[in-house]
Amino acid sequence: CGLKPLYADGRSGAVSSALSSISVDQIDGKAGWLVRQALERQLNPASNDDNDGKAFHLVVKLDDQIEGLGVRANDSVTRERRTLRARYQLIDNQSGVILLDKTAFSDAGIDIVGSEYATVAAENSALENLSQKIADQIIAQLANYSLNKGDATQNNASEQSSAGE
Amino acid sequence: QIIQNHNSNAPVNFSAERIELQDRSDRVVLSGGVTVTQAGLTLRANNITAAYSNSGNIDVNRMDALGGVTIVKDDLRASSNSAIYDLDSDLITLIGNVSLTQGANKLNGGRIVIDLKAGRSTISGGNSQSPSVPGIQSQSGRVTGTFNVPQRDDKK
Amino acid sequence: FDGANDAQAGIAHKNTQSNSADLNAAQSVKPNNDKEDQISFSADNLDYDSENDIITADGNVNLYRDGYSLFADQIIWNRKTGEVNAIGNVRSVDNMGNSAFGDNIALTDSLKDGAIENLLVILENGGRLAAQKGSRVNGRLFLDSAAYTACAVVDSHGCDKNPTWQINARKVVFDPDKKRVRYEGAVVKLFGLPLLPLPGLSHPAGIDAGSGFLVPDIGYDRNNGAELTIPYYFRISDQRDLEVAASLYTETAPLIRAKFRSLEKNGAFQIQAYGTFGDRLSPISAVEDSGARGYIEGSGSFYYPDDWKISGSLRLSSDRTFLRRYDISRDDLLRSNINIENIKQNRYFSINGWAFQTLRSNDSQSEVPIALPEIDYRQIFNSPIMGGTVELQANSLLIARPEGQDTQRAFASAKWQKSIVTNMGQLIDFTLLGRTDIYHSSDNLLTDVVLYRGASGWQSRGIFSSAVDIKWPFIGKAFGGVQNITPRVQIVATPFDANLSIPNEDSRSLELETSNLFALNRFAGYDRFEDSYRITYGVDWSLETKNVQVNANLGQSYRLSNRSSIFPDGTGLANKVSDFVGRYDVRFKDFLTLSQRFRLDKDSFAVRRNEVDATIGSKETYFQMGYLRLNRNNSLQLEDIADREEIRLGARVKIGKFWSIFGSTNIDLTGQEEDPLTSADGYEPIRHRLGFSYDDDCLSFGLTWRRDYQPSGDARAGNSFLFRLAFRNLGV
Repeated sequence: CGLKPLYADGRSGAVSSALSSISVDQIDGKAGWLVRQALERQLNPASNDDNDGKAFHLVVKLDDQIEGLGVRANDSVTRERRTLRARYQLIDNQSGVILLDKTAFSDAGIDIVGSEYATVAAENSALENLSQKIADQIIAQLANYSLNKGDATQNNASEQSSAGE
Repeated sequence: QIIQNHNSNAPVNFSAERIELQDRSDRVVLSGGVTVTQAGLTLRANNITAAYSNSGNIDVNRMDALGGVTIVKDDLRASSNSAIYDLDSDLITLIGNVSLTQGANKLNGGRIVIDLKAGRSTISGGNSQSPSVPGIQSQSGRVTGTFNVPQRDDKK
Repeated sequence: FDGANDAQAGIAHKNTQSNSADLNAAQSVKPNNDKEDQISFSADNLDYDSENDIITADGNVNLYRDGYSLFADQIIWNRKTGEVNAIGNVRSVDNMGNSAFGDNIALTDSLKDGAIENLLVILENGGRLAAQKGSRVNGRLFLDSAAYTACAVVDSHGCDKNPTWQINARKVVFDPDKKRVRYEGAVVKLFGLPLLPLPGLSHPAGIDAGSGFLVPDIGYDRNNGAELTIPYYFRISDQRDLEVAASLYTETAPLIRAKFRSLEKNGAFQIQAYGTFGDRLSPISAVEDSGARGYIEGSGSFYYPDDWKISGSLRLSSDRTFLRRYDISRDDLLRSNINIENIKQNRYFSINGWAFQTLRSNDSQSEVPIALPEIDYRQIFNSPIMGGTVELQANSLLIARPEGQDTQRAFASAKWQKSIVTNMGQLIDFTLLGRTDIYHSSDNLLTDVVLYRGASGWQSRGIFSSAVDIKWPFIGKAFGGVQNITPRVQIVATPFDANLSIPNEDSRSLELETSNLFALNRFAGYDRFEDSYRITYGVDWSLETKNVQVNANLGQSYRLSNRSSIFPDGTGLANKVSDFVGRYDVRFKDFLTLSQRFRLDKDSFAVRRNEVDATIGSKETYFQMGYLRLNRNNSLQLEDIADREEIRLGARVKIGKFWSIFGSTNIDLTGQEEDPLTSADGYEPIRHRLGFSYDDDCLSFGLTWRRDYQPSGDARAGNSFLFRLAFRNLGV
């Protein structure tokens, strides 16, 4: 059914080079820091942070919610659901045009346990895992976008990627 | 209090660079920085044609002033493109972006008719572009100006 | 004041015969550079009678002075008496932008004061005041038999409709400087019917808020009987305000609430406190006593140079049932936290302090932990070693319990990660982690769960873990959109590390999920680190078309070593082969959001965990469903891995342009098969809520009926009703 590897030709492939020309703006809050680190690690794994040389930058806004569920007879909440939503925009640095404006969404369940601090720690771990999940989704959608853009404009994509290096 | 108690049959004296007398049509044409004074009222213009009747002594009955007209009397000062001073009917009509200032009162409009005897003056918009005044934007065809509010002890 | 004017005019009159020129000359000589002594005007034409000093201007006349302006077809200004008479669709606008319309208006030449017939005033904030007669004295407007409304008087097609509500009053005073409207003998008329007399009513007329009474709330509550809450709002300054509300009940003492908010230069904070004096029934000892009761909550955050932020929140109640008894909140655990954070591009540093107050009937407060300080420091270095990134982390935690185990912990770790992309498009991540921990704990025996105790005194631990994670993303066209399939395999090798000898404070909540399936340590927190040699495999699938977005992942984990796992039964990781875990979410435009997370038993595929959350519909009309079923049959009966089943439903339907009805219910379906200990019969409604509301451009009211089935101490079960009525920009 027409499947082909997204990252064909490895590092020098269209997708990898396009991804490595994206820098990520600082995102506020602890969740923002975690998502940004996860994105930076996958976007330009080996590069140092010369973000100025990049052709695109990514702006991410996060929304982090914790809901109580599993309300028992004595009205005690026994389970929580942590939802992390991201809205992100890929912006071309020269023209300032927003190339991509999408959302990513993931959630995780947390058991409320006897020790209140253990629940807080579980919420923090859920946040770390969700930040990785959100980063994976954003990277996948950026890769898809780079590939279609690559296919559509085969020639200038390669010029752009070389310029982006 | 625009212009009052002005005696329009007081003697009129002229001064100008060139005076041309057309006695057949009982008119005199003055041009070049013309100044006309009559009992404290001075009328200046680029050129003025005065029509007079010659019944024994010269009796000016009408003056048409054209170009850069200014009228000054006591603290009143009016200016316009052109003006007609009809001495017999005691009417001064100023036409063409007229502006008139008297102390703190300022008036501008298209046409002003000043009735010297009755002390009435009517200003109408005409088609001139009246300058803007604090609080009111300028529009064409309008009379605009500011009037001084007389001091009163009840003014809080 | 007219009298004084004439006398003065009289004097002015006497000497006009002499030479009015002198009078005016005298004036004009006086240096009058201050603008406000001049009226500027524009008109089609103007007639000036210098004899008796009367100016008549007509043709769309506009007078302006010192911020006040007057528009009319014709204006006659008698400069001697100072009377300005405007005739023919008159509009007078004050310097605050409030405009008054009338047929004819007589004003003084300050354009401020004067009498106006059948006048309409449009206030700065859009409210409208109409009156038969009114007069304005140095800016203040006194109206007789006036009506005020903030509602539109014209419907969408432009034909006029009578406003939803209006206030009729004998006398109304509008003070544009203080921006307030004050009524005498005011009656609120709703839909044309006189509803509520409001003696001494006054409200702000400007755009920004002003102090004053807010709209009262009326309700009936099973615990406290009929309830009337009257809030008063103090606007202290543009940055600070205080709201004080008194709630009067028929069956218990009144409750006072005060909420103070303040915006500082570098941050903001707010504090809210409740207080009353009444009877209470403790859910633990069922002892009935009475005394002062209350609750305080506050939060704030402040920003300092160089990216430092200090934020804190406090929640403290005087007893366990106060919040539920006065329906302030349903929480059964109150968290207070202090946090100092400094976040840089590659560095994260935070110090946290946690304190809790439990409101649960079976918890004892003295066993509740206090975590202070919890320090977390992370520093990222890019590509120092072989092109991988290194993350150093230092963390310390101190937990103290008045009557319980005390634990102190500190660890330092270094994680090296490198990812490569093969030509065939495989993403391979290599991870190496090294960590050393030091623990100290005391009174371990006071912790009832043996697994959590650890050995008291000093303990240390070294952890080494390595992993290879291979993802092979494929992309292809499907259903008119793009699909991604990403098979994933992860091999993790973590040699034995001491776990049971270490006290477990933060790894007690554990449940295998897709979010932690591929984590290096599938325990939450840091006190337990999974030591095993394992292979974890799974597949991620996502589809994106124009309207639909789907994300799904499924996975399982297989432990190679056959040492018994430290994961307790019921967590899905107890055996060599883990249960299947999966998750998918479907989003259709912004109409449908469905997300389901599940865990299936590895042999019987029985549902161990099933959590569904769905929202269907638009913002005004939607249906919400939440279902939770935990059937983890943990043999050890660990209190922290209890099973339960629950359904939550909620809906809101908009009817017509203004009406909407809403309802929600929570039903605890936990029965014998989930929780053998419970006496519940599998259908235990917790609470439900039903109500309707009306919202249009200037009025909103609603009635909510809520029924609570579960008593807790003096917060008895039963029905409660809340009626809400709010007029736009009038005490809202």
